[in-house]
Amino acid sequence: MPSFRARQRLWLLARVAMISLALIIALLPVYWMVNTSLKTQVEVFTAPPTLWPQNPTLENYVSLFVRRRMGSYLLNSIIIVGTAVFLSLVIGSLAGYSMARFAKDQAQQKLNMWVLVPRMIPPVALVVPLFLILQHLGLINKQLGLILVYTAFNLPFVAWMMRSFFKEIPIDLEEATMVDGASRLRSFWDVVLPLAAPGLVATSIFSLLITFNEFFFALILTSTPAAATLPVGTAALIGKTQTLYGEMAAAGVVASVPLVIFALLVQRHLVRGLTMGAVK
Amino acid sequence: MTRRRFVQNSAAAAMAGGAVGALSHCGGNATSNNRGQITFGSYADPALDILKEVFLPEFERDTGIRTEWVEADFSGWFQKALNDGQTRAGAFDIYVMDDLWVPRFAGASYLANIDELGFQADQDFVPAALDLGFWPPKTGLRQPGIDPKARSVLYALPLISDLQLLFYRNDIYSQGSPKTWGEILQVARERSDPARRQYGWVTRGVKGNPIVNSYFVLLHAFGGEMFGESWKVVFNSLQAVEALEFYLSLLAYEPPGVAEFDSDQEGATLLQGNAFAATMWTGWCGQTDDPARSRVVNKINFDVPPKQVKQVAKLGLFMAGIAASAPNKAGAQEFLKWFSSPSVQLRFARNGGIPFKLSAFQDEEARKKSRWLDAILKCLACGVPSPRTSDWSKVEDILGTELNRALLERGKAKQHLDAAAAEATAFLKGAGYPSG
Amino acid sequence: MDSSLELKRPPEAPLLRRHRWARLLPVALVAPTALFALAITVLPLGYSVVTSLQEFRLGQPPAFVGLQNYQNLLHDVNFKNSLGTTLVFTITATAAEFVLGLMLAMLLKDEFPFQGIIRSSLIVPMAIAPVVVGIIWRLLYNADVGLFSFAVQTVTGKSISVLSSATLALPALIVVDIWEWTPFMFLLLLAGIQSLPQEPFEAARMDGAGPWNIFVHLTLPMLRPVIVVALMIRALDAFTVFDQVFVLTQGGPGTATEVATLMIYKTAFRFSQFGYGASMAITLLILVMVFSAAVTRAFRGTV
Repeated sequence: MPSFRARQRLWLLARVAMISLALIIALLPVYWMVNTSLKTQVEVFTAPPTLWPQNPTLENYVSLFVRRRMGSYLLNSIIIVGTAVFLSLVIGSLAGYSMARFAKDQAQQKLNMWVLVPRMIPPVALVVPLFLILQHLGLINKQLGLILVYTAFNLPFVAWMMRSFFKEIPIDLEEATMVDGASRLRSFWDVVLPLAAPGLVATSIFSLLITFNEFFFALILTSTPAAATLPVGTAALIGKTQTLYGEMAAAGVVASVPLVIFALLVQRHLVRGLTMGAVK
Repeated sequence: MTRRRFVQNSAAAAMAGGAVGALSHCGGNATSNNRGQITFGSYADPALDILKEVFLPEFERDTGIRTEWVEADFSGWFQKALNDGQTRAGAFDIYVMDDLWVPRFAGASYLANIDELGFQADQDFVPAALDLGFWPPKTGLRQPGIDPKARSVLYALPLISDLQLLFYRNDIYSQGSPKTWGEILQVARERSDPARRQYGWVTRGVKGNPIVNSYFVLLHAFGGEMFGESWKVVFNSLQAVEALEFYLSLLAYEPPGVAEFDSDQEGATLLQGNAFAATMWTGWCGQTDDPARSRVVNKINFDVPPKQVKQVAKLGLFMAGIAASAPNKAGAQEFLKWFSSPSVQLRFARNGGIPFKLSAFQDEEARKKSRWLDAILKCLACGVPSPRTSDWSKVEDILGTELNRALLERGKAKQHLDAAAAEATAFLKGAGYPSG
Repeated sequence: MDSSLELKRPPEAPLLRRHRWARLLPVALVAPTALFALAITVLPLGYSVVTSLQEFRLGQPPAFVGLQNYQNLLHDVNFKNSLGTTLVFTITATAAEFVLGLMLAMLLKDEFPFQGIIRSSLIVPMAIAPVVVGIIWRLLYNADVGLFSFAVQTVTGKSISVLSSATLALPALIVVDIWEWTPFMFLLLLAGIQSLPQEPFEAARMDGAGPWNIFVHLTLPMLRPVIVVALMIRALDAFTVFDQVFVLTQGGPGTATEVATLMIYKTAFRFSQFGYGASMAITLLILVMVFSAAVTRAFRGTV
């Protein structure tokens, strides 16, 4: 019977092995993307595939910014998505809080259910009518138009996610602070938010990721680099008779850099919130 | 970092982003010295590069009209253009279209009548190229709902003479281009070496448009057709089955993954030096001699696809049409006139572009620089376009799925063609076509 | 205040009893979200419904045909197949992502060196634009020059063409989806685990409960709200998967990977049958709503 120590060590080894496996699986295609982005077209299709470019070149990246206006697309993406996500986090969290705390009656529960409907509709069904609505409002090919649409589509998502995180927080905590004389807002700000911080961070990461990579609506609701986003610019590399694999990989790298940086910055909040001990 | 700092930081970031954004727009969109601007909408393709990078700036200098070129992926652009036409949004002045789209756009009145705008087409246009811009089509069947006696109106001009021609290795086919399909099969049989990745032929196998376009050339070469009298579906005729069986017989000498190949993999196989011949689009011509893209520099020659019963090429021209809701029709008109003028076409050909006027094709200097021009001109003379009906996409999808299945099974040509024909006929009947 | 550390269903009435106007608070907090979201979707949806009742022919104004499109759908074998394919895809992918995500979350919930970098690295697949994911995996799966085919060939000596195999194509797509979205499950479940109060676990450990027991009887139940949301959202997204399928297989080989959204897209935009396409989209929506209602009902009272 292996000793406790030995079992612990074995378990540690197993953990390390599994985590390493997960990392390899997750990062291999990413590595391939970076690899491809540095290759000339003739090398992309060379068999056997090369793990590192024989003639590494930055030509793909240069071409993206000089010929394909990726700079404009990148800027648009950051502005539009940043604003939309910020707005939806604020409004949606409040909705999520309400849904978590005050969902006793049927009507309230129905409302909560309806919040999720936008996510169920295939975008194909909405694209033309949305275009018409925005055209009517003069918001086609304007950053504000896309911001509104993205905020609207993120709200249900944020609300539902935050609801589930808020629900995990026992109500006693809020009552405790309120008994001590704090208003609901104070209790929300001082107690609930910090505990829900991991949830907020996770939600913001998702929201950002999913909205940043959204393609369909951006394609139809914008037309020029005045408002078009990165996914639209990236997809444009799929031509009629050819796809520029090298440039596409480069675009993928460029597009994921802001997101990865954001994730790196905020992920430290994915840790346990204040323990209940601190409240007492 | 406390939540307060987090909120502050993100607000600051958003504002900074907004400031930079505002700054970057400053000084950019000042209205030009007055002649306005025209906006092109298009898909991406290497064949358009020279137009975009060299000739649009030249146009701006010559006429003072600013140009904006908006690109999207092929399907995305189709969607956007349809949307723009349907809602009359007026975001674009010129639609760059696949000739296949002309029935759809012209038929639904999304395009401006070029004749009415005062454009005069001259004899220098290669007839096959110009004809594709007319709606209803000048020759051939007209789809139901279109008056058979209606006059053909010009709705679009050719932009790039894109078509499928034969690319072949001049070191393998040392005695000149293969003249018959039998020759291709024979050389493939004799010299293929799959172990060393040397394949006699390569094609597109992805279901739908890719495989149908690949099959198209063989179908017509063997004497078959897509539609017969009164739109009767005839791509399951004896000749058609024969053509498909030949297509399948070549599979033994092709890369194993051909069923998932689209034109980029087809082209890549040829340019890597792994295939002896293929029928590909003209966008690849210029790349064959580019060392950054090709391992067979100077080893590729061009010609019309080989003959069986007939000798045909498949046309897939890029057309330029003026949007019905274009904000600057006059400017767009001016571009069409400018680009189709003999002098500009000549320079276009000399710079490696694919022109659509005879004089440009026949220019000595252009032919020296672009050794494929001769083949393309010949192809235009015997080229066949996709059937001119807005319902072709659906029929193509049906046929393409069955062709793909036949390819996967490497056989059962007749069954699959019959199945496709049956489904297509049912669809066409439902869409109002004569059931004949 | 009594430090009741067992997790009990909290009475919510006390919070409401405070002020009269507070009764409006719940609605006030949720209303902007609901209204905004619905405005952007209900109006366009209405338009879509109207479109689905029409037929579009070239050069003619749309004709009203009532429920004709829906009737045709009932006989449309291709569409029904695509619904089946979509269902298989959704259930397999979501289930696999959940299991793998949960495993990863449990593996990574405790402190360990480099946890920041590791967690961020595991999220990267989700950060890459779906179109690019499709292109890169297309390259990886390529029978001739793909890394995977090359690896398989080196090991088994036979070349394999995943995307042109009617049996392997759908699993191949599911693998891509799992690769791309397991990070979602992982992140969500990790955040959920990190938000759980510590005391019940300490108490259970002091009582001598083993790790497996703690996991099954404490962690999972407490995570239930997060699990339901995660499954729901991922399933909804998987139902409407599009980009990867479009780039990788276009629905082929044959119709092995023809998912519903692809059919809708082709019908509405390639074949320009806007009415028929709209009816397909509405049908898909109804099915999805039924599915979500069923899931919510199954978890009602525990969420």
